[in-house]
Amino acid sequence: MVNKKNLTVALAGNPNCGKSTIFNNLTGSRQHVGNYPGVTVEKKEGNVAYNGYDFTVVDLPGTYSLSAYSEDEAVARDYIVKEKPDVVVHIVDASNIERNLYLYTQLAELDVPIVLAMNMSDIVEKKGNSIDYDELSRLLGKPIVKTVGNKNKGMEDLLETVLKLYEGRIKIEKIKIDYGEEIAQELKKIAKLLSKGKQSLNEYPVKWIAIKLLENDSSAIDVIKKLSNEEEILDQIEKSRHHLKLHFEDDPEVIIADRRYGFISGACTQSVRITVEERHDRSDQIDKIILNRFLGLPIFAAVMYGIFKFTFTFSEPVVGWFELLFEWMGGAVASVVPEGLIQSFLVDGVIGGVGGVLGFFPLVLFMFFSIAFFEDSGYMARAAFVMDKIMSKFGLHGKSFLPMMISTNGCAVPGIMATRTLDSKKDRLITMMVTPFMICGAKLPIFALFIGAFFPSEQGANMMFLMYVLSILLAFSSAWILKKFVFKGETAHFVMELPPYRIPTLKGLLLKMWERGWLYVKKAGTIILLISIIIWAGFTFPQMDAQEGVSEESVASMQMEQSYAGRIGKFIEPAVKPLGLDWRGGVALISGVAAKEVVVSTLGTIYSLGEVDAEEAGSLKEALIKDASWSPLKALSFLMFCLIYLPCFVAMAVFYRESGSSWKWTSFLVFWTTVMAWVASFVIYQGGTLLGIGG
Amino acid sequence: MEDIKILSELIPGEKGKVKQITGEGTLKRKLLDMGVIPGSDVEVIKVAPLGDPIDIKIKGYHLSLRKEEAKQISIKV
Repeated sequence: MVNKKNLTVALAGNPNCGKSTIFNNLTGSRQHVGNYPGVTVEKKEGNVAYNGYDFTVVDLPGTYSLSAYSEDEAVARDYIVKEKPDVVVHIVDASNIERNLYLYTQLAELDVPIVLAMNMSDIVEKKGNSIDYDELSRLLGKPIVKTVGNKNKGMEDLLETVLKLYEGRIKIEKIKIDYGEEIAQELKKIAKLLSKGKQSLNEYPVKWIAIKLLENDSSAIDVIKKLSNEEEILDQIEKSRHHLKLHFEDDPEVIIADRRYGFISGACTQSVRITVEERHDRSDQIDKIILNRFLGLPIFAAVMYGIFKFTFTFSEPVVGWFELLFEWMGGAVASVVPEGLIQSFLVDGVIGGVGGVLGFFPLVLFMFFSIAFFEDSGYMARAAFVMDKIMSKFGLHGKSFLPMMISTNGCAVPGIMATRTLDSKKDRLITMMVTPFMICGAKLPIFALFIGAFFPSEQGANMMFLMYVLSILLAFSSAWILKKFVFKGETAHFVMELPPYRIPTLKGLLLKMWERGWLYVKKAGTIILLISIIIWAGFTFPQMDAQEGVSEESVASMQMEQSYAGRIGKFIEPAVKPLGLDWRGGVALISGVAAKEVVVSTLGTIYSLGEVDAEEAGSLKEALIKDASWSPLKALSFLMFCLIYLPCFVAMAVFYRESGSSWKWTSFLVFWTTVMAWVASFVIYQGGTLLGIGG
Repeated sequence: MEDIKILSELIPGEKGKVKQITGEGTLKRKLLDMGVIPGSDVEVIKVAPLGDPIDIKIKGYHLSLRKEEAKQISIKV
């Protein structure tokens, strides 16, 4: 057998240029997702065999430019420079050619072999415009291939051209962007200093670094930090920038961007023929309705409701199947393994833990499918556009709404994962931090139990409403505080493309759904399994000796009291005492870290009621009412704590992963929520006692 | 006659050419990367239902930005 020759191809391009579609077309199901080292940016890689070669195709993050200001851009640039792919395919949305080619001017300056894929070329023709591809290819100095990604056209042509370039059967020409005499002079001075003594520039071309330095690009400044003549270079940059500023009466970066666009504009004037200047295309027509002053918000509300419904209601049967499956597995193991520690470990620890991971899986898949639909269709950007006014007042972004909504009555796990739609790291972190405050579906049984027990029916509905209002206030005020004090000085802007509406492809949606959903299982799964075993052990050990003449329920209650978890509950009693709670409340709160609805079943065990179903806790309600150590005020304090304190560990595991495996932010989340919960409960209980309400 | 206005003051339907972008840093760089450079044609297309942000057409595509950000861009009407 002949060994196949390997060839690496990187796909670069703007967001919304159809890059993912082409990646999917080329690699089909032969793709996998990972992470670039040290950052949260996803790395998608796939393979395709062509003409005796095995192509490894890398889908770089979609970027508009290659500056240092965003993680995505830094990743794309570093990959091209350091990993040196054999060929870079720059995918261009031909129907939006000028802005798309801006990236080309920077890719070209990296001196790498480039093939240009003119995607969506059918739209150009449909609009009645035409592009002389041969002429454009000549002007840009690179081979051009016409593609229509969503119709799977031009893929073979693309691979063939890549191969030809790789084998040297076609030549590319270096292009030179004319920055003008003034800038060229300064670039020469900087380049001369950079080349002194053949110093390493982290493999970047000298000219590239020189331009980036003139543009005041922070990563280029990092590169020269190790050089022996750093001072001299910095001095020269200062002088050059000052000189150019005086000469042009504007910053050098403006002039450089202007020259790049000038270069593209020149190439386009000679090769692109616009026959009709279309005033209002189909997308504009749709926007007239979608972004209408009166219809905009109702449509937004309807779409959000739709996503919520789809995520939670439509996934219900699938979630049910998963539950049945794990119940069956538990039963099967229980029938084979004799009763005792090992059975309990396997059934409650391992199978329960795996069930806990996979129980969320259908939710995550359904959510990502619906989000992918609205992302790929172009609506998500509009949703952010409609909501941004309100959200930005609190330091959030228009896109922060969706994760918070998914969490409300739903679940913070898919909610936190939904923050992936946010581009800026700061916006993402703030949104992730406040999403768990929303009342998720699992907190509802706790509220139902306590409100049912301590607040007569007419008050009950008001209480519930109050809880919702409080959760929203908490989330927004936290966001505001975080913006004001924790992330102060960091700006996130809203400069965002509103891409044309497009019909998503089913294949694209399914791949996106699967890839993000699988990432959840792979990344959070192991942590979740581990923690669920720890929690199991905390409630199981140390084992109590069997006692005669005591009912099974009482044994369970006593076992809980003297388990490690029970001991921790007693240990923290002094801390929850000022909130009006005793060790039983403490244990219940601790168990709530496993999952919020567990608070109810733990109380059931403590009150010796045997297994209490979270949804039907009638007998527990009676027990709580009878227990003189509870009062409406204490119940309210407890509810307040449950509303605010740290999210369940599944949500925390997902938070940890999605924050870029940051212990710093995860501990901050734990600290922040717990302190807030304690303070709120303290104020309610102590204030209420002072005023003599409900004591 | 040429009139200088601030982008955030333009109403939907008004057109002009970018004159200058003030300020520094990330926002300015982002705007430049997105094609908001002196001399580009701009048209304000829409204002969001709640009055902010705005939707402009530049280099043949739609770009949205907050009014606060649009304040940094002066326009020759």
